[in-house]
Amino acid sequence: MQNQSPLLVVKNLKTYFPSGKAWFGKQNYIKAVDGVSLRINRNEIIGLVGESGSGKTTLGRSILRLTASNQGEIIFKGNDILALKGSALRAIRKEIQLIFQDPYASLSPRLQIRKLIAEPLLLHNIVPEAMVDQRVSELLEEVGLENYFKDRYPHEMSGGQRQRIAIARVLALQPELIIADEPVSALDVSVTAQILNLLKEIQKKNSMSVLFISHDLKVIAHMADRILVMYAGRIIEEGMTQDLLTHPLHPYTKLLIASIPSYENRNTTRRINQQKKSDQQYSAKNGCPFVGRCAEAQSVCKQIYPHLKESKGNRFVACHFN
Amino acid sequence: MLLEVTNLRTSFFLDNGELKAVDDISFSIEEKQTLAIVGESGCGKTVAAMSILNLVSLPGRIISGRVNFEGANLLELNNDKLCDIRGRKIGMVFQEPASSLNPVFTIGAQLRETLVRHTQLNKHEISARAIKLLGDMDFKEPENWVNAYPHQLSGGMKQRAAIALAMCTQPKLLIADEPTTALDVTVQAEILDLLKFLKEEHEMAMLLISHDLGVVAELADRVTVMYAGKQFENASLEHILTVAKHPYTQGLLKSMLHLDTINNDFLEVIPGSVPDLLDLPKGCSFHPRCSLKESICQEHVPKISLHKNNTLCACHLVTNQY
Repeated sequence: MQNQSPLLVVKNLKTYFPSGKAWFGKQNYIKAVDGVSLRINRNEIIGLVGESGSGKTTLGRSILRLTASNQGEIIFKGNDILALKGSALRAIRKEIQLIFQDPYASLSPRLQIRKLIAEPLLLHNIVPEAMVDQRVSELLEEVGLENYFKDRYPHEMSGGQRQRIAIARVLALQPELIIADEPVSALDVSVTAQILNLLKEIQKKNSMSVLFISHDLKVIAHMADRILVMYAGRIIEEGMTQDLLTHPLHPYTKLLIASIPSYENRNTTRRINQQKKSDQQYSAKNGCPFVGRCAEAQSVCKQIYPHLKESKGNRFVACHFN
Repeated sequence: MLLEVTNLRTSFFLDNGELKAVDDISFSIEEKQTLAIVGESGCGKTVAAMSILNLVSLPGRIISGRVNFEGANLLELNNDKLCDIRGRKIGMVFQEPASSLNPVFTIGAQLRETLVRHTQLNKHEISARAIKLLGDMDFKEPENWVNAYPHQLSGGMKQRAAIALAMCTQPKLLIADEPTTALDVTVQAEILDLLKFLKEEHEMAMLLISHDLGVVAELADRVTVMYAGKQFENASLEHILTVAKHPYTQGLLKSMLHLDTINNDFLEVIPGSVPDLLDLPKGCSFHPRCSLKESICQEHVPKISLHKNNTLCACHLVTNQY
């Protein structure tokens, strides 16, 4: 039986970016991540969905401490990552790995593929030096690339192939958690399907956990066991994939689902404009951040912030009316 | 027939050879009809649209073909006459709204410039028209927004302003090149709604260029599928979605994600990636990735031929009886 304690627990995490300051005044902040709590179990794919600017990338980076957080706890296998230093932090980073959106930017253009994949192996002393080359070949095979790619440079490869290299580099460390930040957004339709399949395959084979970040609910729906919906720095809904998609509770989640272009939506027009919405969106100081766009908003929504609370059937939602 | 493109060929003459971006493409658009060109990056869909407006610049050149629009061949018109058609009768919207707006002029000034060029209205009428146009594009309080600069607008508003520019003269045909690709899902839905509304309201035909079959399913009446500069299939939307004949179209449809692919299944994928246009495989350019290929596919380029229900398909294995 597997260890049932969660792999990663994030409690009330806050990551703020300073943004200008009035003279002698108070420092202003952009609250990129504003009190997020989440749990990732072993061998589970969590989908984190949200629009640009919702803070999903900052949340991913904060977990790895690539971006400094202001407050909160990030407990990975019992250790608080925010309290770690030096070699202990490096050891943790070996176990949590990141896959980026842009495979053109995340690989050094000066290194051959053999060196790119060998780098993490040598840096973390994963295999003895004599074995490195053999391990690189195995990793290439695992991500579906021929051995001759070893001598290539990133610019000689397509976007999909580069993303495979990025995945091979991550696999080299056998991490327990992969944070995949929009890994297929820059790829073509046919290649997207290939990379999604590869990610699923390696997750199953290695029993890893994945935090899968995407703006595309269709991708998340295909990949995730459980979905977190993020809006304005907070988690506003959480649920098992099937549940959440068939019975969305939060008006924002409903909007996201209704927005997906499809044949069924051909004859529905003005669906967004039926909602009261202005170009300068009303933002409540204390109330719900979604109030300006919400079809179901009442006066209480402008005054009181709805906290994420448990709803029926192991669902969580941050809305006064659901 | 509003637009009739026949045997269009556009190549880019590069140091290392002739790149056939558009290789013998024919299609037509009836009044009020929306045709979508679908394909992955590099398949030539944008170059095809640019060629229609004779906007290909060096090292690219339109080699042959006809583009008949309302009886005139656009490829043979002189520049003055062409400028009257561009912008007046054929409007264009691009993927990146920021790049189709001039950052140093207000939205209103840019609308007025177009109106002065293409209409006989006086100054007051033009100002009023500019405001009305923004109102039609769902700008709330358009009288304030005419004085805004592009950087003051959100991505969705910029795209709506760009559509307003294209709609200034009530064109007969709107060319929309990936009009929603750079936008968030909810904003994308707004733009799709707006485009659907404008099509109805102005009885306008549209040439939609997209890689997203969801967007295509929502807007298009007819679809043409491109691959490596060639046209593979041209049929009604319903045909493409239900009984697509070409193996590439079928593959694209299978690798398309839906919300109801919520499961742990793997997607059916097209193996490999799009070929290098300077180094195309012999025979059918798709054969290395095709699971149905036979020896003829590796030798001869399939011609596009007419099948039942006014469907065109370029595949050796799709016969007339089928």
